[in-house]
Amino acid sequence: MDFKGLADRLGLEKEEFIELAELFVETGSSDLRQLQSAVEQGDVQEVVKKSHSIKGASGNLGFTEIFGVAKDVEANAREDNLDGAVGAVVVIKEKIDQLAQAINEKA
Amino acid sequence: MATARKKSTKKTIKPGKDIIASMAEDFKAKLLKLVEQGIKNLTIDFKGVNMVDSVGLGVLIATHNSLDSVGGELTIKNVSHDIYNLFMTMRLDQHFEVIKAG
Amino acid sequence: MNDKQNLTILLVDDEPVGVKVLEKTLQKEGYRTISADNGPLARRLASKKQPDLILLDIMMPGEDGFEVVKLLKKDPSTAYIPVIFLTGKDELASKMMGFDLEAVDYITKPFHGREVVARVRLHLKLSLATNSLIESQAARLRQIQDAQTSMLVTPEDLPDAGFGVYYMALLEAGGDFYDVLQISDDIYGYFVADVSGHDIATSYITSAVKALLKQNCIPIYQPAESMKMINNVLKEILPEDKYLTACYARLNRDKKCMTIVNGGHPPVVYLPKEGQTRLIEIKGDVLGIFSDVYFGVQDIRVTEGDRFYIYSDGLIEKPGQRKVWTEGLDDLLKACSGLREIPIRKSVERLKDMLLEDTIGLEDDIVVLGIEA
Repeated sequence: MDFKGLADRLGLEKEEFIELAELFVETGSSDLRQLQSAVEQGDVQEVVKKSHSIKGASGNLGFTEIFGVAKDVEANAREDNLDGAVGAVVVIKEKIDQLAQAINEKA
Repeated sequence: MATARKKSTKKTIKPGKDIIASMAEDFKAKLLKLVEQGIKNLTIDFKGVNMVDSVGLGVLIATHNSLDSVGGELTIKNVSHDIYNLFMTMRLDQHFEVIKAG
Repeated sequence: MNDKQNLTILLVDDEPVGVKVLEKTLQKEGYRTISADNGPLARRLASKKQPDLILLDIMMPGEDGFEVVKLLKKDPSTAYIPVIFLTGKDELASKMMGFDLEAVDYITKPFHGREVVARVRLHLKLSLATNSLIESQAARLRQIQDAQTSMLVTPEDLPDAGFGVYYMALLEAGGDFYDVLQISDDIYGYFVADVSGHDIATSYITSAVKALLKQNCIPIYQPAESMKMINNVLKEILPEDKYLTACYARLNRDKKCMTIVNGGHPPVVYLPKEGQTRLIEIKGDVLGIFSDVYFGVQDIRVTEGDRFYIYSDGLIEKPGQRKVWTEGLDDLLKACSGLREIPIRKSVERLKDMLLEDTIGLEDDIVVLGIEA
C-alpha cells in the first residue's frame, strides 16, 4: 500500500495520512457492520446511507477499490435493488482488513 | 550643422556626476521642467556617474512615470557595470531602457 | 504584540473521515477549524462562534444541507457567513436546482486538497472584501495610530518565531523597518524594508507599512499577493519619488516550507544546516512607485536548523566608498558561513561586527534579521 503516494495526493504527511487511514478502518468497519445487517434485513434506505458513508470516506482517502464497490451498492440500492450487495460487503471487508494489516506493518 | 528649428520632443542630458541626495532636488526640478516643456523621449547619459543612491533612484523612477504617462520614454545610457547590476537587480531595466557603457 | 489573524472555518459533515481530511488540509494552511456532524449543531456553532466560512455537506441524515442553509440565512447572526456545499458528483446532477441561491459555491467529493484550499481562499477573500469596505478606512487609520506608539518587535515578544535581529537607525526617524508576524500556529512572516531617503516623512511610512502588513499578511493571501496589495496602498500614500525595497519571507514550520518574495531588495542569505551558504537571488520591483508590479517568488524546502538572513543594504555598503551595494555580496557570504555555531539571536550582531568594523561614519540604517527554521 503506497501510503506516501496517497498522502502526497492530499498534500499531507505520511504519518498524518496513516492516522486518517486508522480512523477510516474504525468508522468504516462500524459502517460495514451496519451495512451488513441492513442488507440482511433488506432495509434499502439504510443500505443507501451506510454505503454512501463508506463511499465518501474511502473516496476522500483515495481508496479507489472500496470507493468503487460502495458506489455501486449505493447506486443500486437507490433503485431498490440489493443484487450483489452481499458480495460487495465481503469484498469491502477484505479490503478494510488488508488496509488494517498494511497500517500495522507501517506502525 | 544648421537645421531648421523644429520643436523636438527628444533630449539628452548629461549630469556628469553621482546621482545622489545632495543634488537630487535640483536634478528633479530640471527633469520636471523638461517634461513640462514637452520632451517625451528623454535620454540621460550616465558618463561620469559612479553612484546612484536611493534618493537618486526615486527621482529617476518618478521621471520615468511622468514620461510614461504622456506616452514618452526614458533611456539611460553609458551605464557603468556596477550601476547596471543594481538596475537589473531592482528590475528597473524592465521599466525603462538601460544601456551599458562600452 | 502581534495578534494572530486567525480565520475560522466550520466543517459540517456526518462522515468523520472527510471532516478530518478537511481539518488537516485547512489547518496546515493556517486556518482554525470547528466541526459538527449534524445540522442543528452546525447552526448553533455558527451562531455562537461566528466562523468566517462554512463547508457544508448536502447529504446528511435529519436536516440536509439545503435545510441547514435556509435556516442559516433566516438567522441574522449567521446570514452573511459564506457557505460552500460539499457534494458527491452524482448528487450534483440531481440536485442542481437547489443551488441557485443559498450557497456561494460547491466542492465535489472526493476532495482534492488544492481545490479545497483554493475555493476557501477565494470565498474568504470575496467575503472579507465586501464586509470590510466600509470599515477599512477607519480601521486603517486607527491601526496607523496604534503602530506609531508601539516599538519594533523583539525576539522575546515572539519566542516561537525563531529569530534574532540587530537594528540601528541613523536618525531617530529610521528608514529601515522590520516586522515579524505570527500568521498562525506554525506560520510566521518576516519582513524587512528599506525606505528611500532619510527625512522625517519616513517614520509615517514605516508605521503605515506595519499596519498594512498586519492587514494583508494573512493565510488567505499568497505572499506575493500580500506584497501587491501593500504596494497598491503605498503607491497612493507615498510621494511620487519615494519607494521602498522589501523582502517578505513566510515560513511554514509544519509544511517545512519557506516562501520568499522580493521587492527590489538585496538577496537573502541561505545557510542550510548541511551544505553551502548561498544567496537567494530573486528579481522584483521596488514598492510604492510603480502601478504594475512584479515580485519574484521562491519556495524552498527547509529542514530544522536551516537559517536565513535578511538585511538592509546598510550592512553591505562600505561607508565612505562611492560604491553600490551589489559589490558587498561576496564578503557577506563569507561572513555568514562563519555563523553556524553561534545561536541565532547572537549571530545577527556578530554578522554586523564582521562586516562593519565600527559604526562611526555610518551612512545608512542597518537591519539584520536572522531566521532559524
